[in-house]
Amino acid sequence: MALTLVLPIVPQGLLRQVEERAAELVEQAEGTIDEVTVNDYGAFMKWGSIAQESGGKLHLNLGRLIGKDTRDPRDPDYPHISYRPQLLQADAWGGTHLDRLLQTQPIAGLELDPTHALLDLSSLPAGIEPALYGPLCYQSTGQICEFASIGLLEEEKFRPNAPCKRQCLRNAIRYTGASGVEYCKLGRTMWFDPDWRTQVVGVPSLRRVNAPLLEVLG
Amino acid sequence: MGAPLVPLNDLTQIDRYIAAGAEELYMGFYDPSWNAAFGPYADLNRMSGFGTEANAYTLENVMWAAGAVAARGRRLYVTFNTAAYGADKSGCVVRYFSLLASTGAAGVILSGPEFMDAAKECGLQVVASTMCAVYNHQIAAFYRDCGADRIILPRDLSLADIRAIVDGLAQTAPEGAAPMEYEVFCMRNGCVFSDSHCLGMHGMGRGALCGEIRVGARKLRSSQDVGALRENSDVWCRSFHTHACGLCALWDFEQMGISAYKVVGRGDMSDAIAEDTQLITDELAIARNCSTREEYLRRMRPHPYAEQVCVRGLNCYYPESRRVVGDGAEDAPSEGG
Repeated sequence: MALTLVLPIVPQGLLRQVEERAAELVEQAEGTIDEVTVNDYGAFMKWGSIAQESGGKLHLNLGRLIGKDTRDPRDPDYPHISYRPQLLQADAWGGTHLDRLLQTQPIAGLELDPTHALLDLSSLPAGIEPALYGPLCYQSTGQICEFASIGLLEEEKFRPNAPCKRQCLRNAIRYTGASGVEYCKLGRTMWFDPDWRTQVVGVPSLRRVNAPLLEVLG
Repeated sequence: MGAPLVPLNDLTQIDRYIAAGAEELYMGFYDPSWNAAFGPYADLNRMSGFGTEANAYTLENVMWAAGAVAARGRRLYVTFNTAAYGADKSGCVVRYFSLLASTGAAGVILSGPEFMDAAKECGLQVVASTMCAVYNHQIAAFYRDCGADRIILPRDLSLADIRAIVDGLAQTAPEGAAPMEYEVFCMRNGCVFSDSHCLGMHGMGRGALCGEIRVGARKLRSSQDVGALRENSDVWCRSFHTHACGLCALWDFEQMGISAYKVVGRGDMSDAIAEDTQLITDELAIARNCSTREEYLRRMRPHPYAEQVCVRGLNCYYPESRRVVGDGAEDAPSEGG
């Protein structure tokens, strides 16, 4: 079995610790961890170089937070347009932003959220494997954790990347917004459950990534 | 030394904001031809969804404003900071850059690397928006290498992290390169999420996600103490960052060499913006005459709305630098971060 190491966007204070641990994992699990997924351009450059030097043993994926396509279940029409991710939108000469990124680092995969009912990936370059997360769609996140502040004095609450007691493992919130759409907060991240099933067109194969957040949410 | 950077959504207020201490202003614009070309869901900037409330002016108006601000010896920046733009928008964006540069715009605020080359070629200063999510010095280095002249650091960073990013990037600066400029959030409009990765429609007649959940219904689930969860959630939804302020951190930021202190609120009232700009200006004057953070916190003027903004400690952009609000003249300084 092969594993993918997925890296979050790491704040400055944790950067060295995460980098060291990630490098350790990849080295110790050589051959088992054959992919690293990055979600910011700093990690993209760092791990892209490592992937190049690995001689094909390690591959680089662009994570779901790189593309930053708008998704919004509050709008009745927007999720149902045929949507081409921004990274794949072409300029007048047929070039895309993904093409420019490919000029700097080798990219093996592109991870996406089920933002729309129809995702058009027909301009995805050959050799890049798309992956679609499900069942929940990512909506928003932050460096300030609401749950980490449970039990703290008011004036100590809501500080970015504050130490915690993993309260997120024991607490969750479902919000029904003013629009009637339901969101859930797990940890620092807001999700929604799309009322559409995303179809992906224009690619010969699709990896499906199951993130069992509904089971966690209960 | 840093200076206030002020949102401009009323062209009659330029001189007022400058009189209050603004050295730099920023604004966005609307262009019907943009949506005609790219559809109703294509935002031109982060605040496009709020319509003319946040983007009151056309491109032509902004071009005029650029010249007017430059003629007064100040700088105007124009925002192109929606979460993501496809390359299909390149032609349009480059045309905007060229026109803005021709009338004296100082720079553009960009949400990603996509158009940084084009902005440089037009002679515009490139500002990496908070939408670029510069949460560590590696990401900062990426944007430096893309041509950014200034980085706007996200709201949800501690002072220690900001200092480490500034120092970390300086250590990897190419020889002879101009030092990176930094901009930090200082007044108004905090956010409970990371702007850069809050990917819902921002406006569009519905407001933003943060506003939606503040007033919506909540179902709380806890395997430990749902009462504590509810109490915490109530504070988060009703009281956190309703009047965000970073004045207590100004001394620290001056030590770090921060270039600009952002007043947020292109959709806010001019009186409030002018007042907050003056607050920054006044507190900076004090900070620059203080040798230590503690001295600054003792000497800084209390916020005019301290009862609302300061007392509960929930509106601090940088809470670790917070001045403790007390009743007596000798307010004790808080522990610095």
